[in-house]
Amino acid sequence: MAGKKSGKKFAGAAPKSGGGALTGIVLPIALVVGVIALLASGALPALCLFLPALLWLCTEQEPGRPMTRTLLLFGLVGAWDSLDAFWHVGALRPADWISMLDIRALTRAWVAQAMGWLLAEGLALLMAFQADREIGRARQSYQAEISQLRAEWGDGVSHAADDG
Amino acid sequence: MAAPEDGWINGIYELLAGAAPLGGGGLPGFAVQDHRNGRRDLMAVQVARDAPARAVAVGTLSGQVIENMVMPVSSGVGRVPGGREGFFVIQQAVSGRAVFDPAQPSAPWGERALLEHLLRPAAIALDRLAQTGITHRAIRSNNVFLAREGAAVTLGGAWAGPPGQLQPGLFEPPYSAMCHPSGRGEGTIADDVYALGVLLIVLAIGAHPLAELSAEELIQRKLERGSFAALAGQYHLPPAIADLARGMLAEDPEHRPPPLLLADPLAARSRRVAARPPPRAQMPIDVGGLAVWDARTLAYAAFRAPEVGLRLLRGAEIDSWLRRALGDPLLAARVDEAVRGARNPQRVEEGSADQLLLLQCIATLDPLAPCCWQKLALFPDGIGALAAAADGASDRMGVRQAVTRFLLGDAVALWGDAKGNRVDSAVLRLDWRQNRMLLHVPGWAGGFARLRYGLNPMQPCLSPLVGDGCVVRLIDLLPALERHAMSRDWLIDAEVAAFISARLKGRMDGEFATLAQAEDRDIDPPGHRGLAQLRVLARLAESEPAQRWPSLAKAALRGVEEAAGRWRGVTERTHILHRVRDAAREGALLAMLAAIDHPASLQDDTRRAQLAQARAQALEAALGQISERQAARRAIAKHTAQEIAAACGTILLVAVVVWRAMS
Repeated sequence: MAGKKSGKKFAGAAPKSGGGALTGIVLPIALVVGVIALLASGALPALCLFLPALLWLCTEQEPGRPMTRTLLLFGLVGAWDSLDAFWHVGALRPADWISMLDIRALTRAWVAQAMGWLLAEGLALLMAFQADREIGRARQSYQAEISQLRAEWGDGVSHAADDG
Repeated sequence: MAAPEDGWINGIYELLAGAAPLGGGGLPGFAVQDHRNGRRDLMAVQVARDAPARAVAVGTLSGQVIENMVMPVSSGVGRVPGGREGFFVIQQAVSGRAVFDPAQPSAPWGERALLEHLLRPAAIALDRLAQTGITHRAIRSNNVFLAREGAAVTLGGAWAGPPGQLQPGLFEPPYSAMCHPSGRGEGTIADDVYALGVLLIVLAIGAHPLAELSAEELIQRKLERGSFAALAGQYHLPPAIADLARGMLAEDPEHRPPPLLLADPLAARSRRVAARPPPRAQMPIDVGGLAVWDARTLAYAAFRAPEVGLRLLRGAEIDSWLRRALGDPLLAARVDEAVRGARNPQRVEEGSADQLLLLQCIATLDPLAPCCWQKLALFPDGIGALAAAADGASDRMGVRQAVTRFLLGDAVALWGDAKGNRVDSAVLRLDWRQNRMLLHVPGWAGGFARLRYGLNPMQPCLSPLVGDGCVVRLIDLLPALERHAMSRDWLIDAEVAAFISARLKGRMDGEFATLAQAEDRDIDPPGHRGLAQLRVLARLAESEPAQRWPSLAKAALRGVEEAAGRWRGVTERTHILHRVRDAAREGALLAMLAAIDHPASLQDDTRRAQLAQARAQALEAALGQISERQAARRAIAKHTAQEIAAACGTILLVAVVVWRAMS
């Protein structure tokens, strides 16, 4: 019995220890390597351009992170020129970083992302309003029909419904 | 419809001023003229409210002719000038004088006159009457008339009151005389032969015999000595008259000669029925101060003094007297059997053991005796007239209660058994069960009033709803109700219901049960009472569909409007109310009923109400679900918006990329 129990424990613990190894060793190493690569490749300016989207990525709880997706797409539209320039320059010099992160490029990217957010929220608001209006219409229609039934058949009709 | 005009009956017979003609049989009579043919030899006899006319006799004999007998012609409601409405029997009028007036005694009639002018014509008339199955029961000295000297007598009218009700005890057999005046029953033609025999003696001696005796003493004398000996014993009658009268006054009706035989006096005289005189005891027994010498006087004494009679019966004094003094052990054994039967626990429980014991013992001691019940003697076929007499102020003897208990108990069956083959026990029991059933019918369609109207087809309706109107026929009820409708909330009470139920043979009993229930328990499911009332009124109106009853319709409308509440649909209800009110304005009771009493429409309304209820339930459930759906719809809207925004972003990105690539 004891052997079986210990066997089960071992079987359950194996993937856990595997996951621990992944987060404890591989991920930090990958992170450090990634940061070095990022710095080396000059992608930091790109992270600045997409800062709103990245912040949203951290805070959004919704499955699929649809708002982050929208911000990224609109951010890409707004930062396309900067990215295009970065792609063609491919330099790692700080002067190039600065030229990439000038205020106009940053503004364009962030405004584009803001526009994306505004569009998503505005559309959501509009559609919720439309849905509420339809529901309100249905409610009014039902209540009018109930009132008509009450007028024809007396309060007992709906009271009976309440009793039921 | 207007009330009867003053001085007219049925709008046909005009009451004429002047002296009342003869032949009323002791009831108020008026000379009338038939305006259809100008006939003036008629009279109207006013019927008392508590003594209804003889419906079967009037119905059967109207239009028939029997020589030397006043025959009924018709009947109807009329009004004596200045008086209230009343019911009248129209009959032939008689001229001349009564054959004998005690106030002005005349010379005795001779044998030939008695035979030729009295006995023969009266016997022929009675024989004709017997062939119709009806009895006269009013042959007495002031109701037999002589148009002129030497003419045949005419028997006066006997149709406007219960049979034998106005007969003095002298002219009745003792067993009939001891009965309540209204409870003497139809009797048989032998009772008329008895009365004719007494009249024969009265005219033969020129006086009323034993006029100095009270009614009870006269009955006792007749029972003790026999009727002939009691009445004619001290007089010297012509031999032929004595022989005939002896037979006619036989105590047992079966021993009296039939009228056909009397029509031939010589043959009747030769017929001698050997009737044994009742055995007389060696010593008397004292019953309530009366010295009794024979069994039938004992029966009468026990009836007169029931407490003493019961004590003697239970104490076995009567048993020992019957065995030792009278020497009739067989009779004593039968009486003893009755006394033992009275210990039946059921009878004791019902509290009727004493009354039933007395009734059974009296019938055993004297098989000719009537039903003796609670100091009331009656023949069962007199129950109807007795019930009519039992109402109102005349109910001094507690007759109503006595009659009710008489019918509800086993009295009739016990009496019939004790009488043996002298009565048709099967018919007696059948009638008794029918009458008892009427008492048992619940609600307004049963009870004493129903019994009274059922047994008396010519009993006027006693309800205050008809005011001072006299309603005898069902067809006269609506006009009377119409005249008094405006002052009433409800148009039908227990008396009217019993009257209608009796005349319609119970065809509206369901409606009367509803009305009684609403009245007694003060429960009226919406409009049921009003609808039941309208149904009854409309049923009465069916006989004259074109007639309008505005007052009745207006009064009935109040209850009917409540009945419209049974329709739940406002539209249909309003439509029905509109139709009912229109019909009420026109006074059309049948149209009112047709509008409101519509089961198919009501059923459809109920079905539609159920559908409406189901629909309302569905709608309210949908309303409840809408709030839940609203959140889901918002989530969908948000998701959709985000998808659209993403799509827009993608499109823009593609456009920028392409544009940059191309530029």
